[in-house]
Amino acid sequence: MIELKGIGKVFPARRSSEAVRALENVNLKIGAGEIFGVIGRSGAGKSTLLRLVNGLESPTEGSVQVDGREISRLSEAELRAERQKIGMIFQHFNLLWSRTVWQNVAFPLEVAGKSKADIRKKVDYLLERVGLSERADAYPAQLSGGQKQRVGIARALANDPKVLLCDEATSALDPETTSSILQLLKEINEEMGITLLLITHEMDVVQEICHRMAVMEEGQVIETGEVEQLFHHPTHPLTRQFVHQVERAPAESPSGVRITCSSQSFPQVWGILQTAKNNGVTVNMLGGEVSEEDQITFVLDGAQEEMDRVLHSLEEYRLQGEVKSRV
Amino acid sequence: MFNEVDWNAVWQATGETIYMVGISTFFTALFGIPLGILLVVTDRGQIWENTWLQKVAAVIVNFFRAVPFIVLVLFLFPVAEFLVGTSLGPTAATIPLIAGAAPFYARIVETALREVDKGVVEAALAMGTTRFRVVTKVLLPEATPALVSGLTVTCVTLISFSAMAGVVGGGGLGDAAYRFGFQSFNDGMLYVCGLLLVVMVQLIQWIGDTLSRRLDKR
Ligand SMILES: Nc1ncnc2c1ncn2[C@@H]1O[C@H](COP(=O)(O)OP(=O)(O)OP(=O)(O)O)[C@@H](O)[C@H]1O
Ligand SMILES: [Mg+2]
Repeated sequence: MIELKGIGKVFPARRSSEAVRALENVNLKIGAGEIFGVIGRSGAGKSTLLRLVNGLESPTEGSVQVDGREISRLSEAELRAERQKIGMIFQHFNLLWSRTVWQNVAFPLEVAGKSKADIRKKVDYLLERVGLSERADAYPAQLSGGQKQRVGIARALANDPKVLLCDEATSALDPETTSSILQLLKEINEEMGITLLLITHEMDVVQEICHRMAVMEEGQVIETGEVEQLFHHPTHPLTRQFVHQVERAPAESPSGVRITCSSQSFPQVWGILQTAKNNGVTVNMLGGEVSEEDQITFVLDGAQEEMDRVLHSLEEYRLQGEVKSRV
Repeated sequence: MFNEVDWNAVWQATGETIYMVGISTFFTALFGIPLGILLVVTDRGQIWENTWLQKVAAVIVNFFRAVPFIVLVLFLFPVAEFLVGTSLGPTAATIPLIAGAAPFYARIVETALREVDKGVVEAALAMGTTRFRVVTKVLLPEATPALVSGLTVTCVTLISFSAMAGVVGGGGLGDAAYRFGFQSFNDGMLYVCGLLLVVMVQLIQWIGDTLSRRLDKR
């Protein structure tokens, strides 16, 4: 669906800055219906890469093809038509604050010249789909971050795109909201067969929904492959660092509570966990070693009330900050 | 003191001021908004980048903004004769008023449009919006509260400019205060005309502020 061949991108020098080589010999092939993640540090060239796909940026070398069409060869009108078939969502949502939620979602349909009746039907459907029907008449300023991103998603889907580009779409959201947005994206991918290209600097995001991934560093793709594959056998040091961000829970405990603590508070936490263990909770220490960040992670599994008791005890010892997430 | 006030002259002068300010505010917006748009969209990195055109527009705007208003008045009354057939009275006064205020408002429009989030423009372009519609459907609506409050400031400035233009032959409250008040040693007339100008400014400011606040959904 998306094919990048030998991409190079240089931002020319300006009076105040030198030329920047943002991308170098990038080759990627993303299949239809795939969820593809690109991960990299700040400044690695991820946004630039994404913006090539809908022609917001044009490559200095190489070719960008979407659905067999060479993006850089399209005329201005053809490119606009193509962009209506490529949705995009953003880290800071980029909604029009002068328009209501409903009107924001209607925007791309107006641009595409749809009839009033079609617009009404489609917007109502989309708001229903992202669970925001009741907030249709609210203005973006009145919404939470997660709700704003739902509006962004509804807007991006308005013209039934075949590709959805996500530029750090969850980076401004808290972990729980992030999960719900990722869940929504996953559902949309499954329902509509839409191809998702998402960029992020968070490994959790890739792990949660991506099928395949690429790792970028200084404008180059340094590793590509199945997410599972790269998780278990990262070859490049940077990939290893990213994998390290998320130490995975053992496969046998898909549900449970993950607890992270520093070595300093380890004795107290350990005490609490021993009690829990005696009450039938399974406790796994991840990796069995203290990681670089001086953090030890446990995954607990067992009866809900026992786990609640553990969390409660941790709170009593003022260790609530140690609880990372419910898996 | 107030028994010396010629109320007929006062009301006529009020009417002339409202007429002058109304017409010139309208044309100031009509010329100022496109000029402000031009200043923004042709700038470096903007949707219609054309730095040459941008510089020319900026120079013209700066020129009119640098010339003192009273000089504009003296120079442009003869031009008014050519454009509207007379070099006296409120209609003729609108010509220098517009020439003075439109570049001023254009700069305000420019600032307002530059305040619009670049990300929103990018989102619109990514949706396949034409550049023309980026201006009409994104830049202008998003900047509306700022455009309104800017027009309020401009309108208030126009009221004081119109008083000045009046003295040189435009009529209106400034002229009445000067001729029937100051020159005729009629203090009542001077105060009444001055007070009416103040009331007008307050009223405009209040309307503008209220409107701008209502429109602001941020
Ligand atoms: N319009 C531009 N003009 C000049 N240089 C640019 C431009 N856009 C990006 N760059 C440069 O290109 C490089 C890659 O930028 P890019 O925004 O793609 O990185 P990123 O991986 O998305 O980073 P982040 O995670 O911070 O968003 C950076 O060095 C950046 O300074
Ligand atoms: Mg970026």
